[in-house]
Amino acid sequence: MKFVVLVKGVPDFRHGHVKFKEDNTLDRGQTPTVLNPNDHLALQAALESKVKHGGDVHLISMGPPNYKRIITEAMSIYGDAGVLCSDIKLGGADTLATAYTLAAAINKIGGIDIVFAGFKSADGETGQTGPQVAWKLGWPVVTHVTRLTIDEANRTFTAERFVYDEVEEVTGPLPAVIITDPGFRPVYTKASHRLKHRDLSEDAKARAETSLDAIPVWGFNDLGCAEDTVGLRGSPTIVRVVEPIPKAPSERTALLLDGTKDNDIYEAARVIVQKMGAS
Amino acid sequence: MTEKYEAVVVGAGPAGLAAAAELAKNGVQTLVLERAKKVGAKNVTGGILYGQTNTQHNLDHLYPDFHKEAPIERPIRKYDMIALSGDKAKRIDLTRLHEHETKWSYSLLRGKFDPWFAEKVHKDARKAGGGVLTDVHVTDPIIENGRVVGVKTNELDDIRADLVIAADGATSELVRKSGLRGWGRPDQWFQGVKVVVKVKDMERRVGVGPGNGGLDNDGAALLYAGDIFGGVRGGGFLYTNKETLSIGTVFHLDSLAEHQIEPHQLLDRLLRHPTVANILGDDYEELEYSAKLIPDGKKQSLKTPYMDGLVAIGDAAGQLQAQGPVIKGMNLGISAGIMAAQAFVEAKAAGDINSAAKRYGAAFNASYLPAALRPTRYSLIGRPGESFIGRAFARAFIASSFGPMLARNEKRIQSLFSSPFWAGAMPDTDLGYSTLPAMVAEHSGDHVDRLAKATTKSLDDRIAALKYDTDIGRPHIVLTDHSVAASGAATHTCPVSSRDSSRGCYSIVEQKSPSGGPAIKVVALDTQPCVECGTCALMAATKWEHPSGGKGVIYEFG
Amino acid sequence: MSKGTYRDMWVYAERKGEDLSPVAKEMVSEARRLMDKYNLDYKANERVIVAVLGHKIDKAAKQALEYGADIVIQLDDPELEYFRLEAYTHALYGASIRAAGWDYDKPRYFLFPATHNGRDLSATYCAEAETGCASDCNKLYIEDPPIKHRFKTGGNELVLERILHMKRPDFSGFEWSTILCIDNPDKDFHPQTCSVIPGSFKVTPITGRKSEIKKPAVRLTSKQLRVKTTSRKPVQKLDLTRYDNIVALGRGINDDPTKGFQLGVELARQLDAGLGLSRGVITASYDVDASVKQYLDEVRQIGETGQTVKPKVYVALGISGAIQHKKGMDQSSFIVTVNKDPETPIREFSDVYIVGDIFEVVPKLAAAIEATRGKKP
Repeated sequence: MKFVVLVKGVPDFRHGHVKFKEDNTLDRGQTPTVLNPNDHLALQAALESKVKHGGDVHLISMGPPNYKRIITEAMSIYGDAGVLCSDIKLGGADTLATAYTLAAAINKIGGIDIVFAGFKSADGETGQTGPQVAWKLGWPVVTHVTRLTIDEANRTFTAERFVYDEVEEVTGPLPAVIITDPGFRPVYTKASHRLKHRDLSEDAKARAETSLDAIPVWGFNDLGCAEDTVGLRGSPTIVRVVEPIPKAPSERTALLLDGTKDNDIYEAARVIVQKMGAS
Repeated sequence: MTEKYEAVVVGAGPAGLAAAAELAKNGVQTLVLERAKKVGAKNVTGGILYGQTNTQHNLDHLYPDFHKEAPIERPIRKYDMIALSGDKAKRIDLTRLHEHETKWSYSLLRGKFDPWFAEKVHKDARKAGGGVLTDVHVTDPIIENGRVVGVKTNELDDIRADLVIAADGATSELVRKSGLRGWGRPDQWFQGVKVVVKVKDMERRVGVGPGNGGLDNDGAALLYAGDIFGGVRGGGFLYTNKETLSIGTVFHLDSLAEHQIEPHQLLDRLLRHPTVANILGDDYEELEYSAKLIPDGKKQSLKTPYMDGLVAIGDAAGQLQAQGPVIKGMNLGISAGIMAAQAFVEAKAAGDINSAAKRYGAAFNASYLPAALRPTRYSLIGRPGESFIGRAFARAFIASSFGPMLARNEKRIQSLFSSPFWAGAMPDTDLGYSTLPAMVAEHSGDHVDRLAKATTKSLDDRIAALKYDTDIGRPHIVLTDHSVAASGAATHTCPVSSRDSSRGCYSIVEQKSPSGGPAIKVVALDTQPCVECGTCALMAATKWEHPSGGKGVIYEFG
Repeated sequence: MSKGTYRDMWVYAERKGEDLSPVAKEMVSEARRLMDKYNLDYKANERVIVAVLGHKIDKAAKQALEYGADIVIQLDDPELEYFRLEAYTHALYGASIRAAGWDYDKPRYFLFPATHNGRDLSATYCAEAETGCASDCNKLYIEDPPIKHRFKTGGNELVLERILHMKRPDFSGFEWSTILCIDNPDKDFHPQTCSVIPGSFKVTPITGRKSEIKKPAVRLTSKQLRVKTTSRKPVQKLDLTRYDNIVALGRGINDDPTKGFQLGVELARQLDAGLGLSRGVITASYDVDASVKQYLDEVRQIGETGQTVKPKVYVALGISGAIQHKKGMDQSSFIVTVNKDPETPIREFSDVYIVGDIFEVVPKLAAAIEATRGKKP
């Protein structure tokens, strides 16, 4: 079987890694770029499918030339091959334009059975790109997948998804786009599968180190998209203004209130309601 | 489709890994199943690994170059007993005992050693289609027509095997569920607790290394016996690792229960005694607290450590040599593991796979193990010495003038304590553990000036420093009888419980009756801090199982 | 500037069973406010169109009228009984374009709820409509901004009309971006779409408004129905991280554990919060009444060996703040503590510290919160 995993580089927002300017606002320049955390699970999902059904896992990312590094980071979790879509004409893309680009890359590889993607990226956090890629491919898409099984003979998939307070089981035809939920867990109940998983993971780590140069870069001309559908030109949305939100101070100074005084209780209620409604 | 492997080894400790290594070497498709998330995370030892001259089945049979490659700590070149009475101490050289039938010996830490061993085994086993898997908790043997044909686990579908090797430790579920043995009685067990500590200027303080008349990197083993443990039968140890010390105390479980002094308190008595405190100094660092049940081989090693389709090796088979100050476990398990593997290979070659377990039994009987585990001299001298009359005799001897006379005779004492014969013949009474050593220290020992305070960590802090991956909502141990009468002993014998602690496993709570009746005392159990030693299986009314794969305590040093 | 014709603000109103969900009511209310102002500013008469999808959903459709819809489009079909991404996308899109009988090509604006399904639907609807979507917005307004964009304005500064300004937290909460969806000279991008964070807007019921419900036919092909749901069950596992707010109980409930739980459960319900417990409560062997026994469960533990939560508001009742507990919740945005003891470790990491007996304070606090929320915006 043939699988694709869509991966993205994002600022490292982890506590202790994210960098701030003097006014406590995000310093994008100084914060290192890492593989989007939710993509780790998409990679584990693809690896699970490969362990159980064999085949190859292709990684695709879109970004500036140095994002090849993101692909090698992803390959150290799992990937048999990777490709970076990078071109000035592809830059400045919002989700729709990105979806066109990634769909073109997927079609260029060809013969794909499942495209895996993570829930949302840690920067844009729109969660739109995965479903929109599926739409441009014309394939079914299932989001918030927590478990996946494939029926290779009948070319169908069964996915468990966790939405609100319910667990749903859905089935559909392949090829399909599967978006993993942060609660996704691969399930291996056979010793031979777990041994294979271990072999493949160890290989992946070893290979990832040397893979950087072997990653091809596909530009605008390689992908064959219509120029008005990709990049800045193909993007319906623009960001007009960005207001930085300073990070909360790590130390809190408690506002001390007297539980026997009604005024104090009302003050507490007021601030609780305000904070609940805040973004 | 049920999976099948030729051999399934349960437990990736030294015994299991040795069996798997030997099997893999002979091209047998071997699957090793370990319940920890990382090999070594659930394994504890004192500990010293021996290679013996009276067998080929040592670790170097598997890896001749392990002395250079393996992450072992220090070769033990100094082996002394420190007899204690009050703040008096007498050092007794036990080199002769240590070197008896010893080819080599190394201190080690399981958190480092076991992963190295497992990595090698995994690579070799992979070649024959098997391997080592972690995060798998084997729960039951699969038995058909009186024969073990496979295993059930929490995490995987059933696995069938031509031979199942139970190497799942002192708390083995496989041996109990297959009917080979039960938990036994408290007097058949020891309980050990230890701490791994980092001290400044270690070599000088312990007295090893070039600066102290020794070789580069050499190590010491010090054993402590005397009157500092309040009459609880057992003693303490201090082993030098490369950068740390392993310091612990080991007591007969029945004696511990009887005296009601908590195990961590006994350990602290040792740590605070001037001889040890002076080594620790004022600013030592305690890195990890751990505990383990140790089978007393003399009283519970399986005489028939197998049944059709299943063999038991190591602690799971009670294969621990306990002869006086000598406590050897790992190397016996390794020997048994190699024997079990060879038995399978022979059976396979003879076209009679089903005879593998029996062959192991025969090899076991013909080996050095039975004599090491249950020395004849113990049955002839030691056992009678534990009887009422035997103990009365000993008391009379001590009280008479013969006692002090012997105690003052340094040469005689050294000869007695370092005698392999007497180590094996010694009765398990306070004579050898406390009375005689205390007398020796009293009569021929020196005052030890306290040079350091050596404050010890509270049990709460020790528990807080351990790492756990708690299986939330699924406690692995459940009390079947909450009454103090049935389960109260766990509150003072469990190594992570204390009458003064709120963070431990077992405690006695006063329960207000909702109907308004008088408050009653019951035993409460919180399994989150559990270190899975098995003590409470013997000291309380429990349904005792290991946590699921990857869950529970995670030792770093072991 | 647009090549096509675009009118009206559409709202996809999500249901919760037979009723409109709370966020749907908020969104219709906000759409009404936005279009009232729009019609005033631009001297127009564009409408609020609310789409409700499902099967046998007359009740929900009627409810949409109560919050300001001009027209409710009720797409009612057995295949739409439960949410299905492809089917809903095609049904909704098909009902919102000229071919469905409107006098415009597509909606001018479209609002979706930023819920699991709403966000997915906003993405696929916009992929079908070839337009842009700003997700997770919490503030909206319509203005005529001056824009300078290489493609959209040929590099010149132009004042563009009737642009929906969609503000959203971005970059893991470190930035607040204003997103605009704007036509290119050679390509229209409509509707201007966004998904809206629940709780962002006030609900304002409206009476006596002229409005109607339309039920156009739903025609879906088998390809559009290819993904089928084969089973649906309520979830077993309790995941406290899925709640925006948390109420946690500690050993301060000692004197009357049953009452303590009752107060905690009530407050949690009122705040739409998850109920968490400190380890101390779990290990105390409390004997509580059958009515609250289900809540005394280890799965609710918050702390180092339990769940780690980062809610907007964390209310700690009778919790002292031991380090193991702190590790499970100190990343919460806002921490409110009620404790009898004025000097506890948790005071060091609380934003508000109410000194008092939880049994007295909590009922009063609950009443005060109720009163505060009832107030007008």
